[in-house]
Formats: sequence, structure tokens, C-alpha cells
Amino acid sequence: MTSPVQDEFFDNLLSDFLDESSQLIDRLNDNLLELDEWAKLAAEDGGAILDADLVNDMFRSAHSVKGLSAMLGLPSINCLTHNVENIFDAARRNELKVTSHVVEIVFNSVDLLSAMLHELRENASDDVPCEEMIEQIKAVLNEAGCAREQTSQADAEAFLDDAEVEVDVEVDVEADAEADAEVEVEVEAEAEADVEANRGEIAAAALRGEVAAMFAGVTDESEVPAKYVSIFIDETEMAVDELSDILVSIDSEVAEAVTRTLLVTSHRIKGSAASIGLNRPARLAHVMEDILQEIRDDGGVVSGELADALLPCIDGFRVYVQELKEGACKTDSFEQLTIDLLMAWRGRESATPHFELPPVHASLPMPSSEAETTSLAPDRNFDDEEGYSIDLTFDQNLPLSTLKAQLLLEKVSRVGEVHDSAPTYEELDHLEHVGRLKIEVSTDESLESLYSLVDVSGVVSAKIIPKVAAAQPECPVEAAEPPPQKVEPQAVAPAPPTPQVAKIEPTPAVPASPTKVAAAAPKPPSPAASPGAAARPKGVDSSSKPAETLRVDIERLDQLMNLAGQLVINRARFEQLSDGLRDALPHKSAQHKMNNACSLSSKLLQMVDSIDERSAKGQGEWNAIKSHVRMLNADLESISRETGRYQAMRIRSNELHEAVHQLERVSDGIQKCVMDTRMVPIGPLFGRFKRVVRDVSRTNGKEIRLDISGEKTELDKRMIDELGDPLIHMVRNSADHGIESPEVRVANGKSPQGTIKLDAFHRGNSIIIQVTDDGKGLDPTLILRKAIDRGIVDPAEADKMSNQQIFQLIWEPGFSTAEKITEISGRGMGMDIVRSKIENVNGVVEVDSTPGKGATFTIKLPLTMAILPSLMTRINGETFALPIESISEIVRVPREEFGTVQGVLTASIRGRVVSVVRLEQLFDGVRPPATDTIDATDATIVVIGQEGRELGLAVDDLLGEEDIVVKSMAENYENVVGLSGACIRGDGRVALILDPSAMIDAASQRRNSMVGTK
Amino acid sequence: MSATIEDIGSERITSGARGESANSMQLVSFRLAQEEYGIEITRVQEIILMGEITRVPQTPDFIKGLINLRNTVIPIVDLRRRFGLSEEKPSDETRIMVMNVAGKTIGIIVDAVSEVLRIAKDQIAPPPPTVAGLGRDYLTGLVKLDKRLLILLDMDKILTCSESVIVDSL
Repeated sequence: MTSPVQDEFFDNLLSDFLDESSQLIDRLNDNLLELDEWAKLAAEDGGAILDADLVNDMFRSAHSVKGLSAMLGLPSINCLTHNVENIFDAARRNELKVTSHVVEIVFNSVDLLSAMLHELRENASDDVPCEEMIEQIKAVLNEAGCAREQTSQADAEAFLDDAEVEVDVEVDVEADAEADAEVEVEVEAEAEADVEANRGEIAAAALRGEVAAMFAGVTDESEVPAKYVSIFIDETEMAVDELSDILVSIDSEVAEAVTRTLLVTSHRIKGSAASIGLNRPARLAHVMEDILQEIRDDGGVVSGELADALLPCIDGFRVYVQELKEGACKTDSFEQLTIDLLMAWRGRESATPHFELPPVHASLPMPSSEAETTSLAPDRNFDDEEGYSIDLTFDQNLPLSTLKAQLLLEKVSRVGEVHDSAPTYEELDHLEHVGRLKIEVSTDESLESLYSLVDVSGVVSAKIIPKVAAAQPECPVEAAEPPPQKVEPQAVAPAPPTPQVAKIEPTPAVPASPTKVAAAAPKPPSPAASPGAAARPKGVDSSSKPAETLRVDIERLDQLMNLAGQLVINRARFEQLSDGLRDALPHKSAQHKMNNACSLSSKLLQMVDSIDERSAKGQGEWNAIKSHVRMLNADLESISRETGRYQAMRIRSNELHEAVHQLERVSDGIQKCVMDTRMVPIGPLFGRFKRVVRDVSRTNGKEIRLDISGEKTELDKRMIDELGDPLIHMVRNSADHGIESPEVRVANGKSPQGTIKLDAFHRGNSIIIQVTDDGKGLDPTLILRKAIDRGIVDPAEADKMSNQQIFQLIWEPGFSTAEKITEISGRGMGMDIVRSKIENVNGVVEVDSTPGKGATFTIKLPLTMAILPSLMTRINGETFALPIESISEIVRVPREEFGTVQGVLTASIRGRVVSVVRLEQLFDGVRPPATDTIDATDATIVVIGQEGRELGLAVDDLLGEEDIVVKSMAENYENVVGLSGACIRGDGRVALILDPSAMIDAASQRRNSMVGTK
Repeated sequence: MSATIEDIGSERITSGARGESANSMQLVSFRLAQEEYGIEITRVQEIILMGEITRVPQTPDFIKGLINLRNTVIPIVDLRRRFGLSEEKPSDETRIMVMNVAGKTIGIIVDAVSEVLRIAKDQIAPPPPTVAGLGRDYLTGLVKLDKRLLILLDMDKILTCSESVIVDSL
């Protein structure tokens, strides 16, 4: 394997990593906000219960990023995420009290992590100093007294990470290793039982037991949002193809580099499966990874036999993915596959009969305390101590059933407190045989893990009833037969809604359907579905197949979009042509007229002939007339034949028209499809502001609530990317300057909690995004004073300005009304940059405010960036396009309505005075007008901009609305002030697109300079 | 032959329009107001007929405007205006030479395109200092042919120095 291939491979991996990590970080941020709320609550009320699911989810997110970064050899990210993971780990073991301080530190770490990712994206390195952060985290952990080996491990890691990726892999599997360690304990217990029951069982059976134990307690999340599943399917398919390609192609002996690729790919499958809770497939991938890791550590290569053993596993994945696609999800095969794989592997390594876990595992502390045991497996659900009653029925022919029962009792007592059992441990000593065992236990283990605990050979059926549920009329659970994999998610119904239902973290792909939960509630609780999983309505994913997706470079989509736009414009040209052709064809009646003319001329010919017979005089003249008339007749007839062909042409023209119509439909369809492809919901962008608002309210001691609506509204991906910065600025402005402190609010008769509303919706052909706050609003007098101070407004004009006009001043460059510059806003980007950013995506931003009541910023965006609906105008004989978005009205102004204000030409339009310019007054190099001045005649004025910041542009003619594709002038030349680009019209000519905002700026500058010179 | 072109191509990156290392180079010669000019053939993308040109405000006057070249908008430079020559109505022979300059595609209007010719490097003489004065650094050399004189142009400088030239001429 050559290095370029490797590079490409890792580049791919890197972009995957960036994608995934960004998603995970977003999720972390969301969860942190929730946790923050909780911490606040807990500070007031000591009895608040930590949502274990939440912490687990965060642990998983951090762990995933850690694992991925280790794989890619990114030491800084790896080290930081490891520490973050430690915090969550400590938190879920209840060793660390989650306070606001802790949340703050994690917030900062997550910020740092995003910074690293950003750095990685830009410079392909994650070299951002993070030692300080890590120190802080360690301090927190030390304080809680739970740093122990974790910290030392983290330290070691920090060193080792730099040195070797190998070590990273160990680190990366650490959490799983912990889980494995636990499994081993179980294996031992199991083995004991087995040994007692069936002495001398061969190694294969032990292995089977081991694998069974490995899979015990590992169940898949029954409800995985379809969108994650589809991502998993994509990734796994890719990975599986890659794996089987490699394995098939070598078949005999493989080079070391290939082993590495296999390892990385297996890890990727493991990671993507585990990250969405498909734990059983993850387990198999994990075993594959372990084996490959071992081979690589030994410097060995993958043998043909191992390749043969691996291939069925890969096929297993393939089948699984295929089933997932079809909506089913059977995971039975994984256990058998794992057994086969391990058999094959150990068969080879007969020297080491027992499967050794990688060295790190061995060095891990064996779980001793109850808390640790329960917190080890990352995919468990943690409830607070809950009571269960376990009812087990043993095989009648089971030898030493009492011993088995005792072992089970011990096992159960290890995870929780056994209150009572029938028969008791002591009684069992004296009994010959036991058929049934009842245990009353309180444990923080989840239902599902209890099931796996008691799932041992010899137990025919197991019923575990939560005490809560037990209080209700009998709802026993029929446990599946011993092998735990039979406990399938499909077979079960959701548990009755427990208090957890409300707390379940919102998973967007699964619409909360209370009706479903309610309908399912009477059914018995499921053994496999954990309380958390059960609360999500079952049946959503089994009925809806996950959509298949494909990753596409956005550049290609841009190109496609451009071409589609071009197609639409060309189609418009076709339409014009076919219409023109139709008009050019002679009218139908022409044919009749032609026929008439022919018959008249033949009559004339007959008459001439008849006259000829009667008079013999003037023979010469008559002959001449006769021959002329004859010629005329012949010509007419031949013309008539020609015109007959027009008929055929007309039919053809109609057909053309029809074809153009079809083209129209197709091209519109293509355009729409391409547009839809690029559309993404604005929700995640809005989600980011939760954090922003939280930060502001924390720093300023304000109480701010963020209301988000319309998050499903879809926008062009590019637009979403561009909108991030201006929106953050607007939200910060609202939070920082808009919302008053609670005291002031109360004094003003408002509720102490301020509200910022983010909304997105469609209106007509545009998308509207609104940021509304109920704060103090914009202060016109303050703005005006600032504007006068800065020389933006002439004091003489100031009095005449309406509030609306004054508000527009905030868009002026360098304008800020903040009395003091705070940490959050009031520095850096001004509102003028917000405006220009929004104008970059052909949008318009408006502000409206009621002093004392609040302010609203409205962003109006076109549906797509590639096509710009424009008004085509003719100015001084040339064609210019004006974006429709920017036009507020078009009026025909009579001559007498023009006037001048201080030498500036104005027109009164519906009682409003609007300054009017001709294009050549604004720009150099515009062809001079044919007529003299506008005020000499009536003129058509296109008013651009909004009230308070508007300008009337005199145009010669309006050519109508057209959709145009914007062509950048900078592509082959450079950007020209006043023009936002060029476009190619249907007839192939180039027309220029005017930039309304630059025109307004130019107009006001011109006015200012005139004032200055006077 | 292809090696030669490649040499010139790579040469361009390091030492501008002059191909000093290769022995010969190919030029496209064109006519502008009785004088004959030459441009490296590797620069020339195509030669097209004059079409309708859309004027662009706010640009130097030698930017004649924009045209649509197969769905790409490219600027057109009027070399006559650029060199301060009198303007003339386009004739049958007037052509637009489309060329690549600094990664961009532009067109230049010339009175006529004459021929493609191969010259030896040693035929190139530096422009006389009296000619290559201020604002004429786009002249890279003169090529003496049998009875003609070919003026070699560096297209990069024709566009990129435009700003300073305008400022100077004011």
C-alpha cells in the first residue's frame, strides 16, 4: 500500500472525524445546557436527582470523540476529551458532585474542543494549548477525590499520545476494556457455575460462554433515530466494502499497512455502531479490532485463515446493514459470528489457549465496589435505586439447582441489596432441589442488565418486575429463553410511561407521539428495552425505513445548482423564441386570402380570353395583357403552393411550443430538486444560540429565556453557513443591550425574565428569520446623538428624521450605541457588517423597535442563492438587473411631483419625499442619457431600500421580472463597486446586476460631499 | 515540441513571459494601429469575432466591457485605449483574443490577428529604454524578423499595472 493511498484514506477519515465530532460537540453543548439547568436546581434543592441518561449520553459523546481522535493521532484533542470523559465518568459514579462550577469548566473545555476542531479544519493540526484546561479538570477531579488512577492514566496518556498511535488505541478501548473487565468477572462466575454443573466441558463451550457473557447485557438501543441509522448504514457499508476488498484481494498474506487499515476500519464500524447504541454489532467489531490489534502489536500479518474467518463477520455486517435498510434489525447473528471468529483465532494461536485481553485491560482495577460495577459499561442505563422482584424458574432436571440458585443470589447481591428471597440462601443449603427462586432486590442496575444477570443456563424463565410496576395490577414479563440475544427489541412493547418519559432527551427524528406511548402503555414492560429506551415510542423505526443517503462535495452541488439555473434561463430563451416564431408566422386567414387571389386571377384570365374572341382589334396589346395576366396567375399559384407550407410550419411551431413547455417542467423540476438537495433545517443553527444566551445571562446576571420556533424551516446550506455570524451578533446584541437587568425590568412592570424569540418561516418567495426581544428597544434619541457625534447625520437634518429613519442609522459603519463596551458585544463586528453579510447572500435586514417594549430584527432571504429574481430595467439604453428583494416600489412620477431639497433632486411619492438619482450621477462611465433631465418629463422611478434608507432610481423602461443566475465579476476580473455581479440573459447578452445597497451608500456619500463642499 | 511548450509554461511561472531557457518559442502575432505585436501562444486560449460588449461603469476606460463566452462572463480589454491610441470602428478583421492572465480569462481587442510563428530566443532584443519608459513595463522585448519588428507583450502587466498607470497618468 502506497502512501498516497494512505493519505487519501486518512483525509477521508479526517473529514469524517470533523463531521462527526462537530455533531457530537453540538450534542454535548445541548446536554450541558440541560445539565446546567439541573445544577442550578440542585444548588437550591439538594435532593434533585441527576439524570443518569444525560450524563451517560455526554460520556458517550466525549468517549466517541476521544476514540476517533486517538485513531487519527490527534494528541491534544484526545487528551482533552479523555479528561472531559473522566469528569462525566466521575459524575455518573456519583463521585463528583455536579455543580455549576463543574459545568462551567466542561463548557470551557467543549469550547476549546471546538477551537481545536476549527484549527484542525484550517491547518490540519490540533495544536491548541490545552494544558491549563486539563489542569482545571484535574483540580476538579482531585477535589472530588476521585482522580485516582484515572488522572495518572491521563498523565501517562499525555506522554504516550505523542509517541505512538498504538497507545492511543489502547486508551481508546479503555472504556470498553472496563466493560470487558466486568464481563470477565461474570465470565468467572459463569465459569464456576459451569464447572460445577458440567465438569470437563471443552474449551469451545467455555468460549461460547465467554462470548455469551460478552454479549450479556449488551443490547441495542431499541429506538435509534432514523437519521442516525442512515448515517450508520452509509458508513458501515463503506467500511464493509473496504474491508472485504482488502481481505479478498490478499487472501494469503497481508502487509502490515493493510493490517492497520483493517484495524482502523473495524474501529470505525465499532465507533459508528456504538455511537448510536447498536451495541451488539459494536461488540463484534470490537473483537475484530482486538484481534487485529494483537496481530499488529506482534508485528504479524493477517493470515489467510484469519481472513477467511473475518470474511463471514463482514458478511454478517453486510446482511445486518441490509436488514437495517429494510427496517428490520436482527442482531442474533453477531454472537455466533463472534464465537466463530474467536474459535478461528484461537485455533491459530493454540499456544495461548485463553483469549487475552490487551494488556491495558489487565492493568485495570477490578471492579470491587457496587458503584463501580454498575457504572462500568458505558451503554447501561442508570436509574436510582429501584426495587425489583425477580422470579426465576429452573429447569426441572437441572443438577445442583440449589447451588445454581445460590450463585445467582450472590450474583444479584453483588449489584444491589437483596431484601428477601424465597427460598433464602440458608434454606437453599438444606434443599435437595429448587424449582423456583424469588428475589426481592433494590439496585440501581437497569432492568435489562438484571435480565442478563440471571440469564444463565438452567433458568427456564425469568420474570423481573419493577416495584413501581409491581404496585400496579399484575404485569409480569415473560422473559425470553436463556440466550439473551433472543430478547429482541421488536418482540417487546414499551414500558408504561414512567417519570422518565418527560426527561428523555429530545431526539428530533422521533417525533414525540404521546398517543403512541399511551396506546402502548397497558402492555407489559419489556425486558430488553431499558426505561430510557422504552419511553421512545416503539414501532417508529420498524415501520419507516431509514432513508439512504450519499455524501456529496458541496462544490459539486454548487456547480449543479449553477447549471440548473442556467438551464432555467435557457429554457426561458426557448420560450421567447417559440413565441416569437408563432407571432412571425402569417395568420391563418392569409391562406384564404391567397386562395381568393388565385381564383380571382384565374377568373381574370378567363375574362381576358373571352374578350379576345369578340374583338380582333388591337391584337398586339391584348396579347401582351394576356401574357401578363397568365404570368401573374402562374406566379400566384406557385406562391399559393408555398403559403400552403406555412400551414405545416404552424403545426411544427405548435409542437415546438409543446416541447418547450415540457422542457419547462423538466428544468423546473431539476432546479427544484437541486435546491431541495441543498436545503437543511435551520434548527441546529438556532440551537447554537441557547449557549450564547446562557453565556450572556450568566455574565450579566440577567434572566433570559430563548424561544425558538420554526426550526424545521429549511434554508440553503450556504446560507446557513453565512448566517451564523450575523445571527450570533444579533442575538448577543439583544441579550446584552436589549434585555434589561431583572431589577430594571421589574421596575418597568415587566416580568424579571426577558425573552428572546428566534423564528424562521416562509413568506411568499422568501424566507424570513426574526430575532425579537422584549427588552428596552432602540433608543432614538441616543442613536441620534451618537450619529451626530460621529458626523453621520447633519444636526440640521436631525429634527426632521422619523424614528424609523433614525433606527436605520445603526447600520452605518462604525456605529455603536453601547455606553460601555462589554465582553460580549459592542466590539468587533458592527451592525454594518451584519448587514453586509446578509446582503452577501442576497438578503435584506430590517429593524423595527418600540422604545421600552423591545426590538425586532427581520432578515429576509431569497429561497436560493443561485437564482436571483430580478427586475430587468433599461437605463440609458442599457439593461440592468435590480434584485426584486431590494425593491420597495415602482412608481410613475408625473413631472410636477419632482423638486429639489438643497440641490438634491427629490420626488414626492405618496406624500413621502424620496431623493431621486439617475444612474450616471452615481457611477462613472455610464452612457449619458438620451433625454435631458428626469424632471422635464414624467419618469418611472424604482424605489430601492426601506423606509428611512431609500433611494429612487430613474429608469427608462421596465423589461419585466426575470430569474437570473448571478455570475461573479471577480471570477475573471474584479469586483466593481455598485455592481453585485453580471448575468447572462436569455439572448446570450451580458447584463449587469446593480447593488442597491452600494447605490444608496454612493448616493448618501454624494450628498454628504455636496454638503461638505458647500 | 510539446516539451518546448511545457518548458515555456513552467518558465512562465518563474521568470514571467520570457522563455530564456528554451531555444525557441511560438508566438501569435497581431496587428494594432500599424504595429505588430506578439504574445506567447501558450497564453492564447482562442480567437473569437467581435460581439456585443456590455459596458461596465466604474471601471478604467480601457475595460471595454463584458462578454458571454460560453456561459462565462469575461472582461474585454481594448488594447487601443490601453496604449492610448485613437479609437477605431471595428472592421472585418477585428478580433478578440481570449487569453489566460494570472488565472483569469480575459479578452483583448486587436485590429487583426496575423499568424503563428516560431522564433529563436536569441532573436529577442530588449526594448530600447526610450520606449520602455514609465508605465510601459508591459513591453518585454522586440523581435527582429526579416522586414518586420514584433513587439512582445507581457499580458500580466497589462492588467495588473493598470491601477498605477491610471494614477500616474492623472
